[in-house]
Amino acid sequence: MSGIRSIAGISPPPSLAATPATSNSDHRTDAPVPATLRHLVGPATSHPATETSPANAAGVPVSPAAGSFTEILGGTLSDVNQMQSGADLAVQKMLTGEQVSQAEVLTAVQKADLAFRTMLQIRNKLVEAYRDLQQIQI
Amino acid sequence: MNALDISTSALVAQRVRLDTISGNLANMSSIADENGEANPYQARQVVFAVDESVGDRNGAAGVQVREIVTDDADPLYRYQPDHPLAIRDGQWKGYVAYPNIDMSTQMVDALEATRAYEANLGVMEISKNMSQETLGILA
Repeated sequence: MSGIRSIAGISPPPSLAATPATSNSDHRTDAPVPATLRHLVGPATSHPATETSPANAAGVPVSPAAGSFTEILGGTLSDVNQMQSGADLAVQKMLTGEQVSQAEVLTAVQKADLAFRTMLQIRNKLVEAYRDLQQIQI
Repeated sequence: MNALDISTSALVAQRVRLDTISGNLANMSSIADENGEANPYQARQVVFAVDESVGDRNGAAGVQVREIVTDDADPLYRYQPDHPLAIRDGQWKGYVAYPNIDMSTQMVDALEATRAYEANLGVMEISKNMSQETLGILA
């Protein structure tokens, strides 16, 4: 989870008191996770303004302009989509005999592929964390 | 991703260089210009220059073809008095001017362009692998 937090530039929740799972002492180590996931999943359940406090265990600078994880993921998705559309267009141009550089077209395809893989890995990590959370017994 | 862009700029540049060499070799015997006038082809050379628009803020930069210059070497003269494009008067009367292109030089240049192309492909492979390996952090 800390991996996802640092990638998204999101600070951990300021205190355990914000999480409902703290009532069960057996799962105290898991306690911060639900609050974080709530933060990841949507802006509707986002934390109050205390979230932007400098308390950041990972030491990752949090810019106040950084949106919610949903916005970041959505932005990444549309970026990846745009790169793939661009690559598709370039391939189409190359195959229909237009004067485009072979190297540039193939690089565009490769960059789109890399961007997609990165996005996919982050999505996998997120789903993995979500599954872990679902299995928490309260 | 910057490394990929930089390498791509080099690939494009080397490709232009190879195109130019192809043109030089193809025109080794061109004694007339496109209007049919007796005007031997002059070898062309690419001029590479740093391209700051490709690269990153830290100073890494790509490459671009700044211009393609034309040699001003004297043509080779062959005595062919019956040739319709032979020079009519002056010092070289009866001679035909042929392009002064050295095939060995052009071939060595072509090899160098090929090697440079391969080197940049190698760098691309490395940067691609680095990106893919980095994704392993999350896996």
